[in-house]
Parts: sequence; C-alpha cells; structure tokens
Amino acid sequence: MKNSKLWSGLTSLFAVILVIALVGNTLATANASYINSQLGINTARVVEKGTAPTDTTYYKSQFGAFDDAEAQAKAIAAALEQNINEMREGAALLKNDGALPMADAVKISVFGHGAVDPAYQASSAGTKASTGSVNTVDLKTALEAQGFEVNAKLWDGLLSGTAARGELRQGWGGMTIAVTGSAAGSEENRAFYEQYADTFADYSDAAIVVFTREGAEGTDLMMQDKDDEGGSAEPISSLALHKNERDLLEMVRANFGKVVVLLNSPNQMEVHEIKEYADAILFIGYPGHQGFTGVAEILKGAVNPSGKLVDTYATSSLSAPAVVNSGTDTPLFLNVDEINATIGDDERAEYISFQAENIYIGYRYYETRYADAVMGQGNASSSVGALAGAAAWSYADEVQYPFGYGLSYTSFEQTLDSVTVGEKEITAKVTVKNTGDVAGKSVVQLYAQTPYGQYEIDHKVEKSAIAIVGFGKTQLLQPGASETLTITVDRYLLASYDVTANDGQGGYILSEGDYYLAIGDDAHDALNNVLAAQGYTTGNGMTADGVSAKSYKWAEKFNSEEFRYGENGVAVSNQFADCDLNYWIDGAGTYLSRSDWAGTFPVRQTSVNATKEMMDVLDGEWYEKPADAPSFAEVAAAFGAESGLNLAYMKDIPLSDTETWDLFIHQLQVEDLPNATAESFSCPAVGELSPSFAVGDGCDSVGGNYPIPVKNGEEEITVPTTRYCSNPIMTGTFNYDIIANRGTMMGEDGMWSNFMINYNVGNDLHRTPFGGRSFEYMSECPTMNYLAGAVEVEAMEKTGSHAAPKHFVGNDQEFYRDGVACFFTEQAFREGNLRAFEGSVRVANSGGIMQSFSRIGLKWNSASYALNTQVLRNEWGWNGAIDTDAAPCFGEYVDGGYRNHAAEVLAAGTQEWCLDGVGGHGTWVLNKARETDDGYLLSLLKDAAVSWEYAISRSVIANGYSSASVIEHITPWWATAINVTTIASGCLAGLCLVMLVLSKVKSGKKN
Amino acid sequence: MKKKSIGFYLAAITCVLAVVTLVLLVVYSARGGIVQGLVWAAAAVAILCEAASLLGEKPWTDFTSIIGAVALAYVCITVFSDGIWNIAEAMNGIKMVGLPELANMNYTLAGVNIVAIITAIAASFTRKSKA
Repeated sequence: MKNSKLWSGLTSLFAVILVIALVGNTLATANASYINSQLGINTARVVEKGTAPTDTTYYKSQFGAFDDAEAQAKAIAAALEQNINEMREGAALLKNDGALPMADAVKISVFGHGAVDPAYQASSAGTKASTGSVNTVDLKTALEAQGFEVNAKLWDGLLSGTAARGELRQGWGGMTIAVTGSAAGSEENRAFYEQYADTFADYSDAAIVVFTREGAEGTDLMMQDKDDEGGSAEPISSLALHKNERDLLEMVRANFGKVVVLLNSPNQMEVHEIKEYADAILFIGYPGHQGFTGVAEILKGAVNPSGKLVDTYATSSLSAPAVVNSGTDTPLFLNVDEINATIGDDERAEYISFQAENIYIGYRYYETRYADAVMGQGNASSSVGALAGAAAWSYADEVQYPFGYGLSYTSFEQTLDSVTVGEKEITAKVTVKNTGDVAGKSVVQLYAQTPYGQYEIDHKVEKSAIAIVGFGKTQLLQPGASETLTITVDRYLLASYDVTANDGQGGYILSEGDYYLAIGDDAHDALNNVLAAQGYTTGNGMTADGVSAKSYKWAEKFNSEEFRYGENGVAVSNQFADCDLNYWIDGAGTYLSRSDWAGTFPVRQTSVNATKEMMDVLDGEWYEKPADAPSFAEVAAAFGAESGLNLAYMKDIPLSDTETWDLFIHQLQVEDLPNATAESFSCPAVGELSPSFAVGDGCDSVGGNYPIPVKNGEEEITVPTTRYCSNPIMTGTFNYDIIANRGTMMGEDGMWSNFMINYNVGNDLHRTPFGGRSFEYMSECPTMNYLAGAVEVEAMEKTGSHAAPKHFVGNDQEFYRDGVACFFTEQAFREGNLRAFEGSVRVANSGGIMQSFSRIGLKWNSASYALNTQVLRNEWGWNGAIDTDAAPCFGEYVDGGYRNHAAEVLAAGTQEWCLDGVGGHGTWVLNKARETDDGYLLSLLKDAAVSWEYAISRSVIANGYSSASVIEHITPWWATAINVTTIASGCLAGLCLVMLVLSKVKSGKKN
Repeated sequence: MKKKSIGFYLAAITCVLAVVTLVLLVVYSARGGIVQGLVWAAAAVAILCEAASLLGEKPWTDFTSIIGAVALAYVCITVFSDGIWNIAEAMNGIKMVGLPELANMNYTLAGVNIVAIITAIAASFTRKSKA
C-alpha cells in the first residue's frame, strides 16, 4: 500500500470516529439522565465537611437500613405479599353456577393463549413482569402450588402456538410489528385445540380458559376491530368475543363439565356470550408479578373472593355515550388542513374530543338512565342510544354487571343501622353478618342520590341518580359472625357544580330537596333500594324490588355557601367556560342531559371548523411581559448570595416561610435555575443546593431496583421493584388497608430505589371501556378515585418518596392524545376529571403531579393558568411540584410546537418539564427573560426552584445531609470517555491528514 | 474494466449505498421521520464524492473519499440520534413522543449507513485503478 493510501484510509477512519463522537456527544448529553439512570451513575455526591453527625437518615424504611440485605429481603417479600393480597381481595367473581371453588378438582386443562402468554401488565412505565422473569409467578406454577395438575401436553402445545395479541402488520424490510389494541389473532383456532382433544379426558375435572385484552401507552383498544379469520366481515369491538374465542368456548363446553373463564383484561370485555358457555367467570385484570397466586387460591377455595367491579360491564362496549367522540374513533377538526397551514402541524391541533356524555360516564349513565326509565321521565326509554334493533332502552338488556358487582362463596346480610347527618360529615353504621357456611369478607358500599328538580333542569345541573360516596370492608367473618362498620361521608361529595350559582360566578351547590343514602351489593342494587324508598317497584319496570330499609332519606335546603370557598378562603368560581365548545361556536355541540335522553344522546360525532379565534388559542402563544414586571437585573441581583442554608436545614422549614426559602434559593446562580425545571430519569443537580437523583414512573410499579444484588442460583442479580396488580384490581378490593398499603409499599419501593418522587398514582377515569391505560387508572367513577387516591397517596407521603398522580387531567384516551382538544362542561370537568384527582392532590397533599398530553379546550393542560394556578394553587391550596408529561428537548430547544411554549407553560403555573434532563425549556426561558429584560419570568423560574427543592427536602434525597454537608459534582465516566475519544480522534485525523498532504506533496515532487 | 482495482468496486458499492440511503431518507421523511437540512446536504455530498472516486485515481480522489466517509457518518449518527425515541418507544411497546412505527426504518437506515461507512473507509485505503 502506498503511503498516501495509508494516510487517506486512516484519515477517513479517525474522521468518521470524530464525527460519531461529536454528534454522539450531543445525543449522549441530551439523554444523559437516561444513560446515568441505566448505568446507576450519580453525578453528584454529598460530602461531609464537619463532624460526622449521629443519624442523618431522616426517612427510614420500616424494614431496616438501606444497606442491610436482610431488610431488603423483607421489603421485597412484603411488596410481593401486597401484590398477592390485591388479587386475593380484588378479583371479582362475576358468575358462579357452583363451579367454584374447585376444592376437589385436581386434573385440569388450561386453555387460551392468554394462559401461557398473559398480560402481567400492558406496555407503559414501570417494571416489566414476564414469564420467567425475577419474582414472576406464572399461572401454571400458581395452579400447581394449589395442588392442581395441569394438562401438560396442552400447556406445552400452547407455548408453541402462533396466536399473538395485536394485529401483526408488515413493517419495513419484512419485519413484523405487533400493534396492540386489536384482539384479532390473539387466540388459537379450533384446529389447533383439536390436536389435543385426546388429552382432555385425562384432565377433565375442569377447563380453565384465559382471555386477554391489552392496550398500551399510546394505544387504545380498537372500537372497530377485525374478527379472526372466518369470522365477521364487519368490524367488531375489540372487547367482543372474536371467532377463535367463541370456537374455543364451544369446544370446552362440549368436552368439560366445569368451564371457568378468567378475564385477564382491565378493560371491560363483552361478557354476555361468555356467560352462555361458562359456569364461572372471574375478573382478574393484570396480575403483576405474583397475582396469579391469588387467582389460584380463589379457584381452589383457599381464599374466598371479595373483590368488586369498579367499572360497568355493558352488553355492548360501544353503547356508552362517551364512545362516540373518543379513542380510536376520535374525529378530526373539519378544517384540519387549514389549521395546520395556519399554525403549523407541530402544534398538534388536529383532533377534537367533544365530551358529549357530560357527567354521564360509566354507571352514572346506565344507572341514571335506568332510574329515569323507571320514573318515566326524560324520554329515558326511548330507543335512541339503545342496543341495535331495540325498540326501547332497557337496563336489563344494556348492562351485564354493574359497578360494584362481585360474588362470594358465602352470603352476607347487611343492615343499615343508622345514619347521622352532621355539619361536615355524614356517618352511617352498617352491620354485616355472614349468613353462609364459609368464612369471607364483605364490602359495604354506600351510595347517595341527590335531588334533580326543576332548578337543576333550568340551570343545566346534571345529577347521577346514584353515586358512591363511601365504602368499607369487613374483617374475615366466620359463618354466623357479624361486624359493624362505620362509614363517614364528606358532604362535599354530595355537592354539584353549578356555573350559574352565585350570580353567575359559579360554585358548588347543595340542591334543595330529598337526599338518599343507600347501601347495596352494587350500584344498581343501591339504586333499587333508593327507588324502593321512593315507592317504585318491578311494576314500574325495575329489574328487582329494592329494600327501602337499606336507604335513608333527609332533606336539605338550597345551599351555595357551604362550599363557596376553597382552601385559604379563595372563592371557587367558573374557570373553564372556554372549554365548552359552544363558547366558541354557539350551538356546535349538545351535551347529554337526563332532562331529555332521546334528544341529547350523541348519535353522531361532533366536530367543527376551528375559527380564527380558536386557532389563535391553539397556537399556544399568549405570554406577554407584564407591564409592571421588574427588570431582569433587579431579580437577578438577589442570586449568588451565600446564606449557609442546606437541605438538612430546609427539610424542616415550611413553604410559608418564604423569607428563608428565598435565602436558600438565592444561593444559586441564575444559570442554575433551569436545572430545577429538569425532571427526567435522572434529574440533574441544582447548583450546590441539591444533588442529582432519579424518579419513579409507573402506576402499578415505580420501575426501580433494590440496591443490594442477590444470589439467584449461581448468578448475582439486581431485583426490580414489584409490579403490583393493575389498578382496577387494587381499587376493586374496596379495602382501605390494602389500598393504603399499596401506597406504603410503593413509597418503600421508591425509597429503596432512592427516588425523590414517583409518577405512580393513576387517577384518570375509565371514560370508555377502550382506554389503553385503564390498567393504570383506578376506575370509571370520580368519587371512587377520590376516595382510593386519597388513601393511597396519604400513605405514600408518609414514606420518604413522594407520590405524584397522573395524568392531570382529562387524559382518558391514548390514540391521538397528543394535543387532542377536549371540550366539556365545567360541571362535568369539575365533578369528573378534577374530582378524580382531588382526593390525591388536595386531600392527601401529593408531592407532585404529572400532567397530560391533551388539551383542555384549546390549551395544552400544562399551559392552562386556570387549571394550574387558579384551581391547583388557589382553590385547592396545593403546593406540590407540577410536571408536564414527556417534553424532551432532543438536545436542543425548539421554539414552537405545542409542548414547547415554555414561557406560557411556566406562566400558567407548571414548573418542571418531563424528560427534559438537560433543562432545555428552562434555559430557553432564562435566555428569553434576559433578552426581554423580564424579571417576572426570572421570578417564575425561582418559584419553580423553590417548589422543586421543597419536594426534594421532604424526601429520601435529604438523607445523609447534615448542616455541614456540601455537594460535590462528578463527571460520569462515559462523558470522559467521549471527550477523550473526540480529542484523540480529532488529533489523529488531523495528523493523518497532514501526513496525507505531505505524502501527496512528496509524491508530486517525485513525479 | 481491467484497470479497475478493488478500491473502485468499494467506492462503487459505497456510492450505491449512499443513493439507497438518500432514497430511504426520502421515504423516512415522508412518513414523518426527522431529517435535518444538513443531513440532506451530507447525503448528497456523500453521493457526489463517492461518484467522483469512480473516475479513477486522481490527485483529489483521496480527499473526496475522506469527505464521502465523513458525510455518511454524519448522516448515520444524526438520523439515528433524531430517531432515538422511535427506537426507544418501539422497544417498550409504547407511543409517546416518537414514531415507533418508524423504528424498523431507523434500523434499516443505520444498517445501510454502517455498511456504507465501512466500504467508504476501506475504499480510502485502496487505489481506484491499477497503476
């Protein structure tokens, strides 16, 4: 090889390395937080500069020291036990024709692709459990632990089957991509099972069939799904039985005396057909790591089921009024091209979700329409909105299992002993007696009905005919034993939001008229008890006669004062008028009203041409420097002042002591402030005030790791934090102790993982049965979420790792969630989406929240001043950290795009940007503040730093700090390696280039 | 053809792969993938430089080979960097801020690019025509 070729080749080689190192450095820096979290690198450490203090572990695990392997083992065991307990008490037995428990059954056959490939969880944040992964118990193992002998040939056959969840579609280069959300192809066909028909006779004590449905983050279940091969040519709901599933049920029914179906789906499957074939149906949601143990115990009878549904199981999953404008059927704005041309497609202003259902989500629709049908009002029996082909709307046809439904292996008798209506609370005493012959736990469900009269009709105040306001669960009651539960109800839960109250200012009211409290085995049963007290019977069309003695009636006068003021005396008033589509275009949308079901039920989609005024708001640019804003220099002058305060001192300083907090924060340089807005997998250090740290994410698992490696056979492994049951199972326990312990254990998981905060409490509503993240969210009922969320968050906040509910607020769909414009009435929003979070945030004072991708009205949630400042800060008096949903900067802030209106977001009250580990948004705001001499913007950055540091100071991150501790910054090794590579390759490329030129010159002279 | 050496064929392969890269980028971009302006320019430069190398051994051939390799490296790492969320989300089965449905295109682009970079570097070490 000639010299010039050698130098040419080497120059190429090193130049290529140089380019990769340079661009790679940008990529690595932008994603430093993720790299550091994956490599377990901390970029700052606490150094003691004084005498070593006695104990700086302010936040301790209940299991022992964080460096004690035995304590860690106890924490892991307790977490897994919590996981199992959730299933033991949250799985809901929907049907049981004597098939369960299977105490005597031994040899069983297990069917369904979902048996060998269950959804332990759906794709989203948090630890992933899978068959064979650490701590995961699969169904077969769990069944065998209970003494069942599983048909091995069939099981092994299923393992080699070809069924897969999600529509398989051809991707680039011949690769296939599984798109979740479809049920087509998710079950083996009849021919597959017939191969194993000769094994059935030997394992015929029972057939267990597992059906699975799975959405994901970003993917709803499909409203218009395709059927399996040979099935319906017309689209069907993904929640309906598909052909292969129907064929399977037919086959097992013909071959087995007992058929038990397990619903491995947090989304409400259409069960009416399953009921025809199955002797028993058990709702198991997603089991997480070890929930199958609880399932097997229930099947065997070692545990008596006591879980209840937290969603309505409708005959048709498409019958809910919310379905028409949401999920996979969300309509586009009619002039979407004009919108994109006017404001740019990066504003993601294409989809519109008009929430025509008003307050009537889930049972609030089905039960209210039922009540009106019984009472003969509001055209409730009209065929509008009824099942296809029905001449009239009929509850018995529409609903298979109501909210709160769930059977037991024993029977209970519940007696409403007394109700005391106090000034702040209502107290009900309920005695429960086990009237059966096996021990069991009973859920007491307390519901309320508030008046719906002429005032409400005239003022468009909608009322659910029944709403849960409290619940409790007995201890394990032996046969014949009884227990009296006391349930208190906050009167606030009886209030309705009336936009016309207080001379049009709006506010919560207590309607005038008769109020009812009722107990019931489920929402429908409780409503029947109320209707019985009102004199209605089956003669009026009721599905069953109620028991009036199980209800209590009292009267209230009209009252708009009791809840007139929020925390700190701030008046509650209308904030979301512009979130009503009719505010922008008069008469554009009709909201469902019980005053006229036939005339207001949404039978077609609602969309509009966005007007110029609407596009101006969709554009997202509204921030203007206030006229009285101080100069940048004035605000900046306070920074850089050493006060000697550190986290160890600040952990005891209340936020109300603004003077001390200002002294603490002003130790920073203004250039440090953007790091206080940077929330990511690994959050950066903020100057010398707080170190870098990681955060948890995931509603059924915080997604962390325990710090001490453990032996797994010969291998040393890191144990991930536990994946608990999907939230509808946890909420379905109706057991405050279990819900609270979920909070405690997730807090423990967070502490052991050294997470400051965890975005892990799923308070959004199951607006429709199709939500891709219904598994992460608690229920369809806002008061259920209010009650459960308050308990879970309160328990978690007692640990040293904060709870942060998500996705605040109104993110009830996954498809098109990027910027989808949601329109609703203020009443529906406040009593629905907001109330679902209020328990966690206002009542339990969560450490933070994570917002959503969606818009409320025309504004991105994160940029809504009404939402983040007026409601959260002022009305609720809440002071936690407000974080956007994912808004990474990709290394460089882009000015524009709906997630990048940083000044507007900060001015609205949002203070951190999720997955922006480089503080790109905050840096842009700082530069803008400097360029425009806007001291107000700078002061907002300071406020964000106070909020962030306040949360840090109340967390496990403060552990290890004494008054003499300082932070030392560390450059991660990978950054050093990239820098060395860059310099070395640059030098070598340069050298080789010089040598190349010299060789060329030499060669030229020779020639 | 007898005068063509291994370097010529390597440059020819690189040139073809650079054209394939450009076509892939057009498709990728049309499907919503992020392709920065400089990437288009770099892809075009890579094609031109590698095509120039096909003219045989010239005084400037060594430099065009280097520039072509560097341009391909820039295309590769930049497109990969801008598509990192496509890949991350596809691996996690979620859809958040990227376009996970384009992850396979990211893999394909990276694969084609890496082969092109390797052949470009190899071509730099070798003569394009026999002496």
